[in-house]
Amino acid sequence: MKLHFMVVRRVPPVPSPVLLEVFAILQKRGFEVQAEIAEESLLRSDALAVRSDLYVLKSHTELSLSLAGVLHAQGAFMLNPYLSCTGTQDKIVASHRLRAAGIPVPATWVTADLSLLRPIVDTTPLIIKPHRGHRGAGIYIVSNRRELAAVPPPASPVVIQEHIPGTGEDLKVYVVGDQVFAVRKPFSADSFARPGRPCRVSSDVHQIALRCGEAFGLGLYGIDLVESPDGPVVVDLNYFPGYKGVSNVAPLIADYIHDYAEGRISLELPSLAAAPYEPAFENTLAR
Amino acid sequence: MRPAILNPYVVALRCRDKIIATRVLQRAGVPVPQTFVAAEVGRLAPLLSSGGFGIKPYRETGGHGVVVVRKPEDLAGVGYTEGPVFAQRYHEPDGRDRKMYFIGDDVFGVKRVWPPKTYGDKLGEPISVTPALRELVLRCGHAFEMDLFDVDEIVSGCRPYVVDISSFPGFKGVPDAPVRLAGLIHSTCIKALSAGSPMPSPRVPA
Repeated sequence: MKLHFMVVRRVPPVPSPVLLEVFAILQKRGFEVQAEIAEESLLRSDALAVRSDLYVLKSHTELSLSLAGVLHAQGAFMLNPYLSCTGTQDKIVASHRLRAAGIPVPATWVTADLSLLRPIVDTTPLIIKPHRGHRGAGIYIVSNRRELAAVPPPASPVVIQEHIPGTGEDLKVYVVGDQVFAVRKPFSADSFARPGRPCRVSSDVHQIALRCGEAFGLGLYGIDLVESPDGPVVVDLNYFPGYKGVSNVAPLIADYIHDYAEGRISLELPSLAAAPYEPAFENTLAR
Repeated sequence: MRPAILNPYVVALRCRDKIIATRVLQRAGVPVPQTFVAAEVGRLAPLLSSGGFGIKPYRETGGHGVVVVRKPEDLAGVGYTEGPVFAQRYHEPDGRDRKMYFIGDDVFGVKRVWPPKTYGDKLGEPISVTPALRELVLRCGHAFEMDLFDVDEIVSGCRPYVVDISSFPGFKGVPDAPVRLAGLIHSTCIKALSAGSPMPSPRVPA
């Protein structure tokens, strides 16, 4: 059986030790494993065809997502499923799906015009994120109109969330199927590249983590939580994270991929029930 | 009842991403130029010895940001710094571009100068839709299962190439476009109401 891993050039550019171990385990079990970094190739996208039995989408780059879309349109078997990944990558779609699934998330707005946030920033601090961002790039935290005015006009829509004060550290939760792991680490511009400190998973967090997977049809994923005074709140969700700081995770990931490839596990982006109507537009015409 | 979206969301998602859309068209037998994708524009340099490229932002529509490059020095003029580079072999058009519109079952076409600079340019000049042109447009629609779209087609060396597809365009130059559009939206609503679950999932091209 041929497995094709769509991977990303890492920062720093060394192969992921977790993935290398996963490859070795799967190869020992008789899988043919191929890994490719789209950014290092020049591809004929009009000739790209499904040539592997399973594509494992590890990369989060736009190029990899587009190529995954080409393969999906031709019926490729993919882990995580393509539509689950695109729904996760787009924070506008993701924030709605999380809320619709009853998962605690901050109040969220969407706009391409930051001046519309003035009345909101008067009442609560906000965190502004690119709607297709990753690894914390392009994030601004603003507490007043002056700080809001200093944010450069976005080139594409941004997601704005109520900035929830936490402990000063992110709680990063990693999931493999129904197994949940957690690490803590301080948030910074390069914290995505650093391992966290393993920590206990509370029953609340365990339940929230598994509900995120059900809501998006994901089997290998990570979530970022802020531990607010009112309980844990999900502030980000990613498919196939790096699992940095989780010990002995490679055999579990390899088992999961093995089971998925052979059809013992299946994943699908579930349909959402229609939400009752409530006005979604903030007073844009009454500025 | 779940809400319907016209065109369906997944269809619009595929259509908006030129990397996906081009492959879907090509698989459906629609003639498209040779297409390359890369993370950096410099990767195209070695291929320029065998022909130029039209380089486009991979998520834009309406011909925005199209740059024609013929030699390696031209690559410096490509201003995109983020996102994949989408490049198609450039074929010098024999004449004006053709913009073909599809509403429901009807096909319309106009000839236009490219790039259009005035509203008159955008309206173009109506052309008669030959059976071959109609077949080409229907093939594009069938590939995406779309009821509302347009395609940009060029003819180069007497060979047609579809170089862009957009869901729900402006239908400039289509006679009675508002009436036709309202009629299609009306009939889609009726179908949605009678079906109860009106979210068709696009068929995967064979």
